[in-house]
Amino acid sequence: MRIGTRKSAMALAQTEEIARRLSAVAPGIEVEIVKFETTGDSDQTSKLLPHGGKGGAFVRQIRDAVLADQLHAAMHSLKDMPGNEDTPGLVIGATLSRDPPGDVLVLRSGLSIDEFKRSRGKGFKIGTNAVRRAAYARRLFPEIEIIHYRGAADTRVRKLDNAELQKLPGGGAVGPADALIMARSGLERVGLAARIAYEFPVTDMLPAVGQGIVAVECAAQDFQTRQTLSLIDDPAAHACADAADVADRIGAG
Amino acid sequence: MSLTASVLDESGALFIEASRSGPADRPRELGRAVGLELLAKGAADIIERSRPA
Repeated sequence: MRIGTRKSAMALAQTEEIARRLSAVAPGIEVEIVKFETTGDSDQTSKLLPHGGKGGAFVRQIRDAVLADQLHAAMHSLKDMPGNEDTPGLVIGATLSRDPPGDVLVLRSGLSIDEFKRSRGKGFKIGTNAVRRAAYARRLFPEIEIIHYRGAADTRVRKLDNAELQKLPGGGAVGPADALIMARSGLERVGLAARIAYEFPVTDMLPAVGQGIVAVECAAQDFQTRQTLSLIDDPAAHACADAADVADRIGAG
Repeated sequence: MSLTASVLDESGALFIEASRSGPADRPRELGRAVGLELLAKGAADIIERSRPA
């Protein structure tokens, strides 16, 4: 089974997990992981909207390869899949059991969580590219400065640690950041869970639709692949994905 | 299962939340109920105001 994925450390870890689970339930299956450098990976400066949002930036190229019969399946973080558009010819064949879905705060060296919370954000910069995280951060820390920040999970932490500036799409740069808001599951996948300084309760910061869920997409007509993927599908995660998708389409779409 | 969803503007000042529970074998109905509750509370107005120009 040829499975396409982004080439980031987190995406590869997720795809290797799929391969492990498939091998456990379908002994003898051979999984080939095919790495893609998506538009969102190669362009580490721009906002994602010009690339078609997260779907255009991280998902479309791999989907196209499935539709062109170059892959049997595609691995996506469910939160990167656009919920407000139909995808003729494709279905989600499996969702893996959900990882902890929450968001966390990662701080630069020398900054304590107590100092950060006491400040209400005044004098500090949080790096994120997510509109949702930026809005919640302003709600929780009214005096915070939000700066545009791009890159895979491990890349963002490295930039924080090295006090690197983030290039801006129109020229110039911002930063360095004092803190990042990131997905707990992403940090865990790349072995950086020890960097979590604070976990936002979901009552303070709701995660994105599908956050913490890995989805495996395949061609709707490829019944052999669908049957194989169904062996690793987690019904509870699938139900979470369905409920959130419908709420997203109706309430926010 | 339970589902909580929210809509907020970029400043975080305008905030609407809806939360409901329902049977786990009917997730789409639960999602629909939460989505409609958000709309009833004024979500569409916040979304329209926040839409990129």
